[in-house]
Amino acid sequence: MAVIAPGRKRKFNKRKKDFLFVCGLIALPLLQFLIFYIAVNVNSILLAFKSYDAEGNASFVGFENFAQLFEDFRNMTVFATAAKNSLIVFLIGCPLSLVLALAFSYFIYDKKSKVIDFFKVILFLPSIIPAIALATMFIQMADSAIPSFLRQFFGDDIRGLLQNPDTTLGTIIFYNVWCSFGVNVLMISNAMSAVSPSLLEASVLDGCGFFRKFAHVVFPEIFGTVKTLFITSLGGFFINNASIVSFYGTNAEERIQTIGYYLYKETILASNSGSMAKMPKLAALGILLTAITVPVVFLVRYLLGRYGPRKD
Amino acid sequence: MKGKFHLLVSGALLALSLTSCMPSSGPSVNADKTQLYVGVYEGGLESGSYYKIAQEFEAKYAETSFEEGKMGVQVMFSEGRYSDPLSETIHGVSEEIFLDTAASALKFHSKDLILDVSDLYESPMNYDFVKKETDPANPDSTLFKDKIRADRLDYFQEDDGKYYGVPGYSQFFGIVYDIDMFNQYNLFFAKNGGFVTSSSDERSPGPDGDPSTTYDNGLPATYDDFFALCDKIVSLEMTPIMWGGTVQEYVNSLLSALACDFDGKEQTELNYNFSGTANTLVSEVKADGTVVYKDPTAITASNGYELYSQAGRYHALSFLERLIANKKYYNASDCTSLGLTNLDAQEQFLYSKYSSSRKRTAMLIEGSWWNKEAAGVFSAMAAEYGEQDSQSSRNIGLLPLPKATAEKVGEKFTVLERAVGDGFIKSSIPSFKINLAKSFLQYLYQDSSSKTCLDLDSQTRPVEFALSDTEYDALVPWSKTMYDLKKNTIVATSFSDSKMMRTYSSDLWYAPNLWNSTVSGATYTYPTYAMINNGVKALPYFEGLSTYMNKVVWSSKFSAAF
Repeated sequence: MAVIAPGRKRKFNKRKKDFLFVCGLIALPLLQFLIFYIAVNVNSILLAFKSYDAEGNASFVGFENFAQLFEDFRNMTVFATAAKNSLIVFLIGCPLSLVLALAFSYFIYDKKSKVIDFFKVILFLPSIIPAIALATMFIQMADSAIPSFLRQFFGDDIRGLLQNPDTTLGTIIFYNVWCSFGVNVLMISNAMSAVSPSLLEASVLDGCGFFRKFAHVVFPEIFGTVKTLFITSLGGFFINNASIVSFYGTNAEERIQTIGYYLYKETILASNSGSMAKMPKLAALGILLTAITVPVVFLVRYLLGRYGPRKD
Repeated sequence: MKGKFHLLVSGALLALSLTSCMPSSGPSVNADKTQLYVGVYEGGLESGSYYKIAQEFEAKYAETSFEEGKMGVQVMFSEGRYSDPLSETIHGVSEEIFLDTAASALKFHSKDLILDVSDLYESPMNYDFVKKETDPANPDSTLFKDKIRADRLDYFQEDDGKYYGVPGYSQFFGIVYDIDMFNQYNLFFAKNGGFVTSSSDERSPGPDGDPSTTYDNGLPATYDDFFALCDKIVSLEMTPIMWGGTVQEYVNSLLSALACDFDGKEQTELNYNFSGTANTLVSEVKADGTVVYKDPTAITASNGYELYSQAGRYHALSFLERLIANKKYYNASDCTSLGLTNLDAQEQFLYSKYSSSRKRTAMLIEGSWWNKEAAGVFSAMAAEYGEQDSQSSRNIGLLPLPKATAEKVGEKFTVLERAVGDGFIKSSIPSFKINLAKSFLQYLYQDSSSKTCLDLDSQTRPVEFALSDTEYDALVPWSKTMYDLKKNTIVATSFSDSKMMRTYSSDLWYAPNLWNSTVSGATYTYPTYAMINNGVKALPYFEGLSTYMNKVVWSSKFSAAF
């Protein structure tokens, strides 16, 4: 009969306790992950292959929802319009937001003034004020204050920035750039503060000016952060509702809808209807968009890693 | 010291979180009575009348015991946005009866969530469900089901012959008009043509062509009259009409109401029951505006898209085109601004009477419940300007819609009832309260209760009741207008128990989903935006309705219910 020495027994008990402790620690988040991520996504994938009748009974229909979706692409203008708007919002909004944040972050990083911290807080405000309150203030500014002011000079024909169809999308893009500016500045300026001072000192000794220092020292050092911000924006290409929900609820005109807004709106309306009938096609659309996004994101990530600036 | 400070802060936070979990308001539970929990939809409908009715109901059963050791009943109200997702939580909430909800009783029944109330429908109004005997003090022996409007009765009766819900307040959209202003500026039409020149002049018979129905006398009988009225208002340096910039769907709803008035009850209800023959489908609109009809077409769920070419829609769009075409008829800046909500529009409409910066406005596009939403504005104005501006004094009514063509003058006004308002008792109500709950619903539909609802909340249900002249004269102006409409109009209802409505109801009756139109490759949701921003005319917009909702799209959206 094997006899366990007292010291080993204590060690075994401690290991067992540690194991139980770790299990206890991760059990709840793991359960949460399994239910609210894995199960939800599996259910969502299965949903794409189902159909619901008027009584709420489900049946598997194979790829019928996907086939109907392609039929819808041909017959409904909303998809082309929304895809175009998503592209415009991304192609203008994302680079503009990043370039402005880079420029401002580098400016405050280079000046190292204490007043700058105050501006950082102010710039970050749009990110901490509730979205609906911020949107309400912005609406009042865009559709009431600005036109009222301009009418004094240009007459009664002046309309608000959101209500004028010629300026609506531009104003929405501006709002999104403004809202994301604070977060981007915070992320980028933090990355800049991690750049080695000796590296900067050396570049100054080598005769680098304001712009060369940025291009050859700072930007390569923080490129990882910029890449991450860009990749997350790209990954959210099809789910970005561009704050249209905050302005219009579920009643936005088709001409300003993005794919993200369309998905959000249709899902909310389908949920509120109390019927599952419209959900399977939305799930199919979700899968289709994921199938487009994933390879693009991985390709861009690879290309940026391969051809982007390097620290060395 | 630091530890004590932490303890103090933690204690304060705990107290704060605990208090935030407590009920915020309402009467406290009387432990000596049995509680009946009633949920009422929180919106513009208000529920002041319910409190009064509940008090009477409590008094009726003050000496009756419903459970051991308790005497009497206490009706506890709560307000919430009860809609279809309630089906997920209904058994977990305290409410036992739900009134005027945005949920569908039929859907809830299909999930066995609500109680069979057939015995309520089959019993006379003076049958006491609690005492299980006829109430000698109540002479009304009418069956409950005979009080309910026939079409709503059919809606609540399932295939098994049983009833599972009760109707709520009837709601509809239209044009609110300032009667005081119409009187002050002689904006009523005279019997012999033109406008009246004094309040004593005899007025025209209005759109129904019947001078004995005084509620519409002097009001525009046709679209032409309506725009003649607008021109007169403009000539007086005032604005004819307005609506909230954030609620373009209100204009969509007005268009649906105009279309309904043109097509009539039977043709309009095809859009919800998908069973019958369509007689007003348009095959062509000639250059002079003459509408050529298609042969009568049998409508089922699978060809419901055909209804997007109903003539009423074309006429409604023509009305809007004429309205939008003249920028003096409305303030385009306000009416498309995201900064002007429906509540803002109500305030501006009422305050325009005194405003120096805004022209006085004669009409407002709104829903029948608007006066309760604007109660605060009325109170503020009464405090500022005097009693003549209080809700009970200011004369404001709902305009009977003008007819599209002169041939239609003389037809009764057909209003379109929105498909919201179902009431029901949840199936998990404790068994000892079931008869009490049925008794409460029965009490709510007594004539006296219907009068209370009209008097205090200016609302009517699809139930039969009549007022004496004295009772009518005592009503506030908006209640009078609601009663006038109840008495003098035909109601086309969006409620239907068709498979289509059970599966896709909001897609089929909710205004933002009904006026999508594809014109020159662009799809519009709101005709107002299309006409104001893009100059789209009525005819292409009308043709675009069928381009958008073609056979393929219809099938893709709704085939599960064919």
